[in-house]
Amino acid sequence: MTASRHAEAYLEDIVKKFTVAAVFWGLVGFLVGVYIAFELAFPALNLDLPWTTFGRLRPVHTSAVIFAFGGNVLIGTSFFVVQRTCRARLFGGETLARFVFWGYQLFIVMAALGYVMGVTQSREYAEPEWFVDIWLTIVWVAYLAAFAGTILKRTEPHIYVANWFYLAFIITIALLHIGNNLAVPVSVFGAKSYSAYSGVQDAMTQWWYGHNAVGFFLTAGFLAIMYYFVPKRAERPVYSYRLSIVHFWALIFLYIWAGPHHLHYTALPDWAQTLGMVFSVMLWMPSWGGMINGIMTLSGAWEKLRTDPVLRFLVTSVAFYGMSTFEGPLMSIKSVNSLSHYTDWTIGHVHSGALGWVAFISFGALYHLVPVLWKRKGLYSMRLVSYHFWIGTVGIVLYITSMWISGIMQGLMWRAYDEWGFLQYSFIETVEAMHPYYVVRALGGVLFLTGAAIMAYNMYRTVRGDVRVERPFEAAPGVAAAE
Amino acid sequence: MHEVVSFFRSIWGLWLMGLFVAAVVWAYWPRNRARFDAAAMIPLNDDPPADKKG
Repeated sequence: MTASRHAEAYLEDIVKKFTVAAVFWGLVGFLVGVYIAFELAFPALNLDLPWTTFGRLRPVHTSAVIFAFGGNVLIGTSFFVVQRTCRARLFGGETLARFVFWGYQLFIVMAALGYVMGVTQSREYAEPEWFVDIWLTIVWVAYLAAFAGTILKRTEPHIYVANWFYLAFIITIALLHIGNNLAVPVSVFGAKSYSAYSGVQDAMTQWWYGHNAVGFFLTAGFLAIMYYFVPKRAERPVYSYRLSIVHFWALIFLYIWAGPHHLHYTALPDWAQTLGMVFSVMLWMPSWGGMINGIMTLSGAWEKLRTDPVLRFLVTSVAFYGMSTFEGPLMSIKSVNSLSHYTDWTIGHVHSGALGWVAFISFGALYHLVPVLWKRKGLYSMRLVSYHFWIGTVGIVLYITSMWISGIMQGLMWRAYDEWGFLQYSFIETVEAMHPYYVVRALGGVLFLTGAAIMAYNMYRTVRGDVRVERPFEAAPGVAAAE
Repeated sequence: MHEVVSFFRSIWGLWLMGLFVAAVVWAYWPRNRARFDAAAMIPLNDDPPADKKG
């Protein structure tokens, strides 16, 4: 994985840019997340200013972690992976790639500034107003052109499965973004617009978008990362390539129908709710097929988990993927949903996926990428990677366990009746009861942020070319001969 | 033409299922095995021949 004549032909400078941007936005997004977690525990922290209220900062957090951190990881790794697995230089060259990079950063900044100023169309995970949406559409089409163009001019006959997942992610996000954001601006120079949909159709459109943003942005895209970086890091091919094909098509065919599970017991027709539930439950199969495929890639090389903390990130993330895709279908079952919906259980579920799966696989990929891109022999410190891993993991565990307890408690309190049939608790009593769990959650977030800061430091020193003097993790003898 | 389209529309579940089954059969067709085994090696062989042999 060192510098080479061949690799020179690929555009790697652009991947470096995306890597740096991902680490930067990751820190911003985690920091805002920690801040609003403390706001929920100690409301005075909203400072009584409109710009710093929870309602405005929450979309800053969600967009920063999903689209700024996750998006930069996805676009950056996709440019890296597509060039190498297609053996072709990026289509459109430096110019197109730069446009995608700076265009995307501009989108992030416009979106975040808008949220803080109160400019929002209030659609979950799609808060930016119409003019930002149009800009993102242009950038996204350029991204699609660069990626698909590279596939078209490939010199490797087969399109590796990771590229299938990336392409599904890019195309579906384009479709979802346009479909969900159809709106009529009030005036040409004003920010305000009204959605083309209304009533329950609007709700369904939003969750068709929202759940498929989870399915195709946070799942398909990061599965592409899994299918490249796990085999790469484990130095062995994926457990079953054929299973990966089935995984891909099953995911594509099933995910798009799962959105209605966000609208159980609403005005949405009952058949649509049941359809959403059934498809969500069926998603168990591809999810677990994919998880098994990722984890079993290590079969015969398990000891690498002990000696390579980067691989530990990658594999643990796949385990979290399995866990949160087990929990998700469970929560989509109507009777479970009647307890879990609108409670913190949902927040816990989202974060077991977002922190455990998405962020951990991103960290693994970034740790792998940095020495490759900057032509270093290795990272500045493997011990620091290990610290990051354990601090981050403890943070996630604190986060999701506190939200489970808080959420289930909240759900049970909401549905508790007294002997005369009145609600037993007022709403504010449930809020009060959640306070200790909010504090624990915020502390979990602090740990997670600390881990990410360690990563940023480790990467900075790696880029500088430093190597920390430390006891190395024992090398695994005879790994290649293990089979 | 219109009738054909509306007919296939009415049985969308069936042909979606058919497409999926076709993909599975294709993936597990014995003759394709060698091809997919070779494809699985792509990420491991993406470094130049000079510094790594697959």
